This record gives sequence, structure tokens and C-alpha cells, in this order.
Amino acid sequence: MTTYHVTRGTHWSVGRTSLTVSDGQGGVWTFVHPEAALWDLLSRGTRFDAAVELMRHIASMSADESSAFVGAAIEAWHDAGLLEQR
Amino acid sequence: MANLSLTATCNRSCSFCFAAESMETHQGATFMPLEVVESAFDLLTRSQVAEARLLGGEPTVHPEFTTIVDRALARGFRILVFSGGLIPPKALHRLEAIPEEQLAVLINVIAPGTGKPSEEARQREVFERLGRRVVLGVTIESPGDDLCFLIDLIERFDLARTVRLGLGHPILGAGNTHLHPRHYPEVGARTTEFGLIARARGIALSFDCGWVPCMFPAEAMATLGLTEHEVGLRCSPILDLLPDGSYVSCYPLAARAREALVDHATLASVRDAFLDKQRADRPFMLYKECGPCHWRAEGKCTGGCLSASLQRTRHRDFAVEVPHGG
Repeated sequence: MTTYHVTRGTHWSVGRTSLTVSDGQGGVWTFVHPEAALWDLLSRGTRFDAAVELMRHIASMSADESSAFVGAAIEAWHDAGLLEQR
Repeated sequence: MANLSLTATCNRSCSFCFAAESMETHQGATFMPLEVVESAFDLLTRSQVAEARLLGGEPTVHPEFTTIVDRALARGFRILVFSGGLIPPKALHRLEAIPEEQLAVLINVIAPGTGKPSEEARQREVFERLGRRVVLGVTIESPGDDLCFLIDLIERFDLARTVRLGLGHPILGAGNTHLHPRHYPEVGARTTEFGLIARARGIALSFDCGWVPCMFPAEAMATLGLTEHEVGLRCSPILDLLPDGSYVSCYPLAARAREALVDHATLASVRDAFLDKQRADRPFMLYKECGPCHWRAEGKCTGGCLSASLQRTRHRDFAVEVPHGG
């Protein structure tokens, strides 16, 4: 298991069609579907397996596609500095 | 433009006050020293600004207020004083002697029956003595606020026929009383009704920062003769220079960033520095609907008060465990 935590200072705001995330240091990202839905789920404490299952339905993906999508998104957010390993 | 915040103290205690947090936590001067005032005047001159805007706390309680006024006039500035209206006798006497064309005193008015009787009476005395130099202002903190008393006051005391309307904005990270953006449409509707009555009496409306076009009923802006510059684009920002000589972009965002007053700066360069710092915050909007909004797409709205927009951002510590190979 690798545990990723949201980086201190990161804050976000939910819009009607997108989700805006700031790292608090000048970096801003706008997520749209399906990344916005995944961020919202994770920020509410949804576990990895549950997120994969929910995203499968939300984004009409297969189980494998959903698992790959969730894993890749978390990795990308880690690379961007929005998530960190502690 | 910039406001010179002469004092970090006030003789009123308004629940909506944007400066309250800064006044409580200020480190340094309670009163702006005269050398800082002179540096600020130099900056205004360098920036080709014709108006010295004197703010507080309550600027008129500065022990050197009359000297500051004299020096501003000697430099050729028109003076705008932002006051709670409880102006000490010496300061009031000095202001009375300044012609209307060189002075406006924007007074945040106490609605009848809502303040201490002694303070209300003192405000009315100030209205009586300053007459047309007084512009009445209100900060709306509740959707039910009735504004029609302003017309009665203007006519009774023959004050300037303009009303300055402000919205109660949140101090970021603090707990002042403020108007929640969900109430904006109700305020917009009431303001429209008030605006029509005022206009019929020859009284114009002027808007402080943070108003947004979508809070008004359809066609209301045209009916009231308002432009997007008056209601959607007011956050340039107008800077506040604090008594210790540091700048904030505005009081609600004072905790966000400060800049020191330096000799070679102009207001444009200081404003650019703040805009640069705020670049990462600007994508945050007042409402969920702001993203695809046509006012914003057409450049007619900046998205409302930045402090109110940041107030609705979330930060919640969360973690996710990813299985290896996940």
C-alpha cells in the first residue's frame, strides 16, 4: 500500500461544470469530468476500491479501465504536488 | 487609487467592519506617522492621482488629522474622508472650512433606531454642519436592510445627492458579520426598487466593490442606467496603505499578502504586484455557476469579492491508500 495525503495548503472549489484546485503556491488546476468527480470522491474520504467502483458507473468504464484511471489520476496529482506521500 | 489608512483604531464598533481584524492584530503604529503620510502623498503625486482618500479605523481621530488635511490641500489634492461620522470637534471644525469642491466625507450612516442614541445624534450634528460635503454610505449586511431612510436624511440635511452602497464582505479567515452571496439576488432586487425611488428624487447610486451583475433582476441594470464597470469590475484592486507603511490589496484580504511602501513605487506597480500574487486565486468564483457565465465570458464581471470567493473554497485533510499495482 502507498498512502497519499492531500498536500497542506491545497484548497478547492466546486463549480457547476468543473472543480478548481489550487496548491496555495501559485499553481491552479481546473478539473472537469471525470477527474472532478474523482477528486470530489477522494476528498470525502472514499477508499480506493470504492472510488474505482463508483467511477466505473460515473464514467461508464470497465473495472480495469476504472482502476487504471483512478491510479493514473492519483499518480498525476502526486506529480503535480497536490498529493504527497508522508 | 489608494486609501491611506491613517489609524488602526475607531470610535465605532460595527459588526461588519472589514478592518476589525487588522486593527486587532496590527503590529506597529496605531496612527500613521506624518513621515509615512508624506511618503504616501509623494506616491499619489508620482502616480498622478488627484485625490487623497483618508480611511481608518476612524481617520478623524488621528491626533495630527488637521495637519494631514492641511498638507493634502497644500499639495493640491482633493480630499475624500471615509468616516463613521463621530468626528471629533477639532477635526469637524477643520473640515467645515473646506469648500465642497475640495472635500467629500463619506459617512457610514447609522440607520434610525439601530445605534446608540448619542452616536446617532452626533452623526446628525455632523450632517448638519458639513451639509453637501457629506455622501451617505451604507454597508448592507442583511437582505432585509431597508435603504429608504437615506433619502429622508439627504433631504432633511441637504446632503450630497449620491448614496454609496457597499456589501458586507467577509474578512478571509475571520468572523465579521457579512452578507452571504446566496442573499445577493434579494439585495439586488431591493436595491433596484430603492434605486428607482432615489432616481425619481434626483439621487444617484454609487457602488462599492463586490457587486455582481447577476444579482440584479433582468433589465434592472439598464433601467437604473448602470454599467458593468460600476457593478462587476470594481475590484482593481484599490489598495489600502496601513499605518505602519505596508500595503494590503484590501482589508478583507489583509492576511493574504502585504507589500512594503518603497520610494520608487507607483500605485500601478504596487497594484501589479498584488494582481500577480492574486493570479492563483482569481480562478475561484463566487458561485458554482460563475464558470460558464456570460457576464464573465464577456469581461463584464470579475467574479465578485475575491475574499468571498475564497471563503467558499475547501480544504479537508484526506488520504487514499493505493494498493501496489493499483
